[in-house]
Amino acid sequence: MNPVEELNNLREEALRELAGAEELKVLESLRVAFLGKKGKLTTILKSIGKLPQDERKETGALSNKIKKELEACIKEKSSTLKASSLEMKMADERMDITLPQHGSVTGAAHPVNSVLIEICEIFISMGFSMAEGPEVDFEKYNFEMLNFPEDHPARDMQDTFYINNELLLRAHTSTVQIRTMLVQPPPVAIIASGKVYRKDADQTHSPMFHQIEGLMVDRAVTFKDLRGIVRILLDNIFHKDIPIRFRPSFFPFTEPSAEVDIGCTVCNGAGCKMCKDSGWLEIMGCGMVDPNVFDSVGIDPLRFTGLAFGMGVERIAMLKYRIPDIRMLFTNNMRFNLQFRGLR
Amino acid sequence: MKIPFSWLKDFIDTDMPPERVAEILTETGVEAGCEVFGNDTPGVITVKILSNEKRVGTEKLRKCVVTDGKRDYTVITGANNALTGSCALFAPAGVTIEGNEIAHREMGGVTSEGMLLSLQELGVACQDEGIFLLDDNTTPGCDGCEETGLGRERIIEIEATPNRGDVLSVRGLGREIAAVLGIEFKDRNYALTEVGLEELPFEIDDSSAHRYRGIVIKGAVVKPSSLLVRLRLIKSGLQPINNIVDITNYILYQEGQPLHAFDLSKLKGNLRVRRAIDKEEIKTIDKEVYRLAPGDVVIADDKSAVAVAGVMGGYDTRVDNETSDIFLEAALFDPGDVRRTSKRLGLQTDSSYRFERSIDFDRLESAQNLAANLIVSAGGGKIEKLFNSTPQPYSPKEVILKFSEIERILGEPVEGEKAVQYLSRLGIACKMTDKSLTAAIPAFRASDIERPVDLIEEIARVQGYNNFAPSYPRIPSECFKVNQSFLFESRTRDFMVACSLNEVVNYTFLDEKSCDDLGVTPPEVAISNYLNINHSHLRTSLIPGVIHTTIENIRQGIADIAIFELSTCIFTNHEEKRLAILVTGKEAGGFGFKKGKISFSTEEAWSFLKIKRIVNNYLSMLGAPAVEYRVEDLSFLHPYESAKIVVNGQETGFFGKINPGKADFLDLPKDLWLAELKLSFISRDVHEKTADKAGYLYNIFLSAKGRAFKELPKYPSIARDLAVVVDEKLDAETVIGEVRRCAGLIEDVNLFDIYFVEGQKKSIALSIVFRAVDRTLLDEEADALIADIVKRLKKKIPDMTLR
Ligand SMILES: [Zn+2]
Repeated sequence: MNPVEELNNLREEALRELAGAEELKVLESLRVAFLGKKGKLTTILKSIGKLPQDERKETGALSNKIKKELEACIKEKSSTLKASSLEMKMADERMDITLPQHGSVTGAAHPVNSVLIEICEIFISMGFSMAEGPEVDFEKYNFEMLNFPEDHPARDMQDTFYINNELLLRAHTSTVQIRTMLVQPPPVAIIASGKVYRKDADQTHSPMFHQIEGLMVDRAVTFKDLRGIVRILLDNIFHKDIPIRFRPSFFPFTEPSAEVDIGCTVCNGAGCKMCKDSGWLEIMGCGMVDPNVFDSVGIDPLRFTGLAFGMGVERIAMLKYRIPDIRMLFTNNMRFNLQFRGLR
Repeated sequence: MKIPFSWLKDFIDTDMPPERVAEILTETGVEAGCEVFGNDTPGVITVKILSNEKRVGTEKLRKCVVTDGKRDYTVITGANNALTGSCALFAPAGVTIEGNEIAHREMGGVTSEGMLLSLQELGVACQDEGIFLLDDNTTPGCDGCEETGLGRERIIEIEATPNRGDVLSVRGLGREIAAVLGIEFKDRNYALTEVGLEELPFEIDDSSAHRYRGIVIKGAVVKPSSLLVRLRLIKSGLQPINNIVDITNYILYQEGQPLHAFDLSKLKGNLRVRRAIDKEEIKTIDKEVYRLAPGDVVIADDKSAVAVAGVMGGYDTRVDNETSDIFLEAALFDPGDVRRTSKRLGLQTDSSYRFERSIDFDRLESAQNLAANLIVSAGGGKIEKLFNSTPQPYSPKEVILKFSEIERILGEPVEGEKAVQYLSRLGIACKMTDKSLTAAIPAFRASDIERPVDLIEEIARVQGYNNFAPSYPRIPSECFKVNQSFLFESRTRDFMVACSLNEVVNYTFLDEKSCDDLGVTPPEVAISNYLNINHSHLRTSLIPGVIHTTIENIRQGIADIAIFELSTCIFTNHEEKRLAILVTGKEAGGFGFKKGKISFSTEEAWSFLKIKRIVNNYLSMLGAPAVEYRVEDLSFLHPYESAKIVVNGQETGFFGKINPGKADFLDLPKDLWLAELKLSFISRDVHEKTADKAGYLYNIFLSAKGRAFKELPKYPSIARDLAVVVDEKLDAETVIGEVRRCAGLIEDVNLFDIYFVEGQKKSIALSIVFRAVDRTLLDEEADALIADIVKRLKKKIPDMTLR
């Protein structure tokens, strides 16, 4: 056999075997067998020197070409094999991604506080500042200075827990209005929130509940502004353009005073048990600060006007989450509380 | 207050459906609902009772024959008021009442062909005794529901705000409806039908009643009221009693003027209005005996008090079936007097409710006259005498309203003429100039409308609040303050939630015993008028609350509990926001790790060091420097597994395991850990700044030093391990602390291993990292540093040995 023929046969043999190699180990042994120091191609190359001059050049060129071809082939095959062996190794490590998580589950904030914070944040982003006061407060801040005359049935609107003649458990967060205006001259734009207490316990009343209250005092604050603030608030708590109805009402510390209703979120106004077939749900109270309140804190009612509004947080949480009984909010049964995991 | 719509129609003419009227009332400031009176029950007819005989052999049943004018029916009834000659409502067999068909019934050989009815059986919530009787002259055979309004009459129920005493009557509500609808109010004034009245002897203490007027009627006959009066009272939720008492209630409801009828023959000597004598007692119509106080106003005869003014009449002088001579009282008592007495006695009546809310000064006479006339026309008798204390005539108060004020408050102008028109619809007469109006406030609104702003509310109300388009004010920004305490609290809450704790909200109330049982600090503040004996005090710690929550949840079969509460604790002179944490049961679980082909499910219980992780991470989030943990000695905690949290040298809380004895006592798991941290101080003094109180985490959060960038290391560190054997009671921190205090090149000290060895000793293994800022440390230097450390440890902890 002449060397050219021999080389071509060798090439075919090597390519065939390389094509059949399925493991890196096999590939390596083929490399040694053909291209190694004692390999078949090397052996042929070594024998080239014995050939006549004219054949030598041709054969040398061919064997180099075959060597390069085989090297390239091995390199390519090697990277294919490496990739598939990694793939196999990874496949072997397959994770069942549907298994439950490991470790503790995130906690749940209390639904009342979630709602409370959400509403406070609406006002903070509008530019109101937060203000606070104690839960046991002076009677004068809870009643007298808010224009509740002594021996007036207006005091029945808030059946109050008393500590002694001077102190009581605040019946509304409006005490913070007084506390703020006593130390801060106008303008004032505050939100107060927290626990309040009334002697009342049934499906819709709890002796302890939460309120959020807002107050804005400045030179030209009007009833129409109050309508605007309430609109923004309810659009943001419920949904844009929710039906709103103002009804004249009575609070000693505001004049004019209003109750605000929203279109029933259960029946959309068609009438249901929740809204007692009226299509409306009472949601908050509001009004223009009564001049007597300004007098009690030393603000001139002829120079300044103010708007005030307040709402029960439980009421909103109950509407939002369709909770039927206020008492469920304070039993802290984990099966109840955990339903309110998450931000909304 | 409930008012039948047909009664209102005595004062207004309208075709508007009652439901719509109620809605308009609600929208204009008097919350109103509308319901149907009773059930429409087709087939119920009016009958006359022709005969009534006792059934032989039965105690209670009677056999009656009734007629509808065309035919007679035999009927068996249990009622004892089905007297011959009276008229009643009757359901012949075949009529369905509340879903049940009336059938012929055999009883002792007699077939009952129907049923004589009470109003209760027709869906009216009232106290019926026996059957409901119509007037004796009722035509038999008429539609019974048509006669009585069952299923037809609409009842308006209103809930008036405390300032609107003026709508607490049929007449008053009629006037309000007329005003808001812009229709005519049909009003009448009544004079006494008798003339030439003598005056009664009477004394009055000027301060005790603004006005007192009495009328004596002699020779009246006490009997049931007419059907019209009885039905109107029943529809208003009142129970008819007899013609005299019913008329006083009828006039109270129609005119809003409380009245009281005494049996004249039971009054001893002269009458007077006076203040009560201390400890004076009176038995009132409800048969209760009340002890009076010196401020209370009473009506008294020569012997004793006979009525609590404005609240309730006395039992001994009440009108009963034998009464024929009546003293009819109409008075104006002071709203505050009546309210104080009613509150103190815990006795609120229709009368006191109206007195508290002020009654119409101008209408006393007319209302009382009408009552006297009605008593005489219904029960006979003659009006004989009149007593009248000197009335102080009401002169309308004038309020001047500048038109510019309307715009200043409401945000848009209301034309002067329009304002005057609105007010006059409400019965407020006005005089107008270019720039203002002068309103004369009528007596019925005198207590509510006193200032210009009160008139503005009335104007806005009639115009309709919802007709004022919203405007959007600029929020003043010069007064804006970032509320750090709000941020602090909401971040604390978010952090705890992210630590897998669930928020609870417990009542602020508790009792002394629950604190005592647990061994926490006793409450300092008590509620004087608590609702519930278990809620008599205010908490000084959140621990009883979270313990209570846990007990309740365990009772519900929930064993894995990880909760926190952020609430206020109340002390004599201040309040504190606190944070409590309670964990017990499983902390976490799931498929923790995988080995070969096996996935292992693991469960991890809570532990001391896990709650320490939460506390520690929280404190470092707040930027608390120098946190120390010292041995805690609270009695409800495990003495050897609890710690005081000391920040900046100030005690700010504790955490630890529950005392096993307490756990047993409370039936709680022993593997339960608690923490309580003091967050912020709230002063009751309006001028005291609260943010700078030391010992509270809020203060630490506020004063935390801002972070600043430090150069990253340029040279490598070198680490050495060191294991020492010390007494097993020596805290690891003692060793670590000594190491840290050693030399300047220590970058970090990590505890990696503790094990106990013989002789009550333990081995503590530390990995110590050294680094120099200006060069690469050499091995020899590190070895020398370790040698220094060992030398120091030996000096400080003499019994220490190297492992
Ligand atoms: Zn609804």
